Amino acid sequence: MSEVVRIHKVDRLYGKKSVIKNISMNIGEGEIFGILGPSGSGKTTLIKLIAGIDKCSKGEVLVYGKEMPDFTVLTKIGYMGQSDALYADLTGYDNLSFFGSLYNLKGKELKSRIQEVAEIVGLVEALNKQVHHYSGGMKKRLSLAISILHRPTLLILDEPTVGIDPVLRKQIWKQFTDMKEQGTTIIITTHIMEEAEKCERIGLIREGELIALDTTERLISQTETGKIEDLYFKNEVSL
Amino acid sequence: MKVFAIAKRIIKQFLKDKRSLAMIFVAPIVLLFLFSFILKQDDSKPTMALVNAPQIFENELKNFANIVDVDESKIKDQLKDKEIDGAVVFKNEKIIVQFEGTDNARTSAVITSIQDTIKEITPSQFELVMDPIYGSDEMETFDSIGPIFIGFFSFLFVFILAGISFVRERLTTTLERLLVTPVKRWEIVFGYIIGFGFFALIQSLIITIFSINVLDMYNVGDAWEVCVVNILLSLTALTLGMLLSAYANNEFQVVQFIPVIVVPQILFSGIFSTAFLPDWFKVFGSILPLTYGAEALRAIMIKGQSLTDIGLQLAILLGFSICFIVINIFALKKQRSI
Repeated sequence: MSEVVRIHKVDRLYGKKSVIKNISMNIGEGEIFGILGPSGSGKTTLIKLIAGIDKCSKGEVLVYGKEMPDFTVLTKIGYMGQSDALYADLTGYDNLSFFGSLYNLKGKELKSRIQEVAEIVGLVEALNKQVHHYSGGMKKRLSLAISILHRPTLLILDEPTVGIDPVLRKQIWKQFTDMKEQGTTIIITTHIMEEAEKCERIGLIREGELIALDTTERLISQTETGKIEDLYFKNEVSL
Repeated sequence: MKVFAIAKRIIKQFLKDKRSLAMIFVAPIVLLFLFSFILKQDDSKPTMALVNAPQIFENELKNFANIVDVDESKIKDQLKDKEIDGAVVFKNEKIIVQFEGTDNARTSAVITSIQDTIKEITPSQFELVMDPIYGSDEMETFDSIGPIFIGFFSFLFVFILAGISFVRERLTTTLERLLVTPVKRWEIVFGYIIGFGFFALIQSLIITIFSINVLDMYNVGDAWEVCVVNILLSLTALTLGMLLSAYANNEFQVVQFIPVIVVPQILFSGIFSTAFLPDWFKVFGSILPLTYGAEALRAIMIKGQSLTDIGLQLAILLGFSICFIVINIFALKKQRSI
């Protein structure tokens, strides 16, 4: 398994406050990697460092061997932030086609790709509606559709299934596992335990520190109750 | 090209935002309309005396002034007593306009009525000579205001809209999403400029046509040249709005920039005379874009100069824009380092 993301001794300071403290981890190709932690623990900061829209104060973040941000690497990354990041005045189709063109998708290819991703997230019928008429779940799905539009090989998702109903959540997870099968690396942040359990490996973050990093099975076996959230309360976890 | 993808998106977005469309196109027109009426009220008919005036001049002036019969020798006294507002003496192919000169409203009323009259009687073989009893013979007090408002409204509305839509791009985190795509920072800035430039262009056309043809603003220059100046001025407003939005955390804070950025520009735009200010104070005016925009517009509309005569002002406006564009591209580094 070759290495896609390499985070080495990374610190991120905002002023004097350090949000990420000396984190090191590697993420391999085709993995579904979960970053788990309570809100405010630094999950989002960590994935922003990976996506190249934040810069670490110390250490290095390499994606596909290149220090982020890097233009050739950015074309391979699909990113979905916590908020929907959509143009509410435009239709779903216009949103997709706009972001598609930023990845140099054009003409027929763009059209057929929009159709494909719309089917995956179940938005085909709503494509020509303006986004401000969408429900919360629909916006989330559109946002997800945008992030996979250009067939990224690394998908970074910040709490992707918050506000999505269980049926659709299942569908979307099926999509993730399909993409994984095709070799896509997926990084997901979450604070939902059942979602974390679907990841292959998990990095547990608390107050900017990586307090555990292992396969999901082994992390669960370390707990007494078989629930990952117990790890939050454990003071010392062997890495 | 990505620049055009961004421009296209902005245009699409904007076309669906009816309120902003109204703000950029309808609001300036309504305001210009209101202002023109307020200004024309000042323009109430002055009382004037005529000496040796040709019949055609007298007939025309009647439309713009009340004409009274005053003996030539008593004109000065009557002007001083403010019994008449002005007098027009025809002598040796010259039109000598006499007025008291301390009351701006009277002075401008007299001058405007004569300008309007002369405009109607073309060609005029007479040379116009201003002869105030007090003050200078400057005749620019009144008519200079129109072009300034044209420039001001172009500037104001483009500034607000550009600032707000860029701040919104940050707030809705679509900017973040733009920056995780391989788009270059300059492509974002130029995409914005083209997208908004499209609307700024239409706005300048509407404002110019409306001011000159509907409001009948005094204009002896070429209308398209007025447009060119307007567009350059809008470009500075656009790039400045974008730049300042980086320092605003929400739409409301963009609006708060208006008194800070926009009001001082009015002070130095020529509505108020800056002729007798100390030099160090005038420096403030020389760092404000509207100063040059207003100067250029007045040169075209009032003096009938062409673009080549106001090359310096246009170059400075362009310089402001380029400067703001560069800082904008640089400021985006805060969000993504490349």
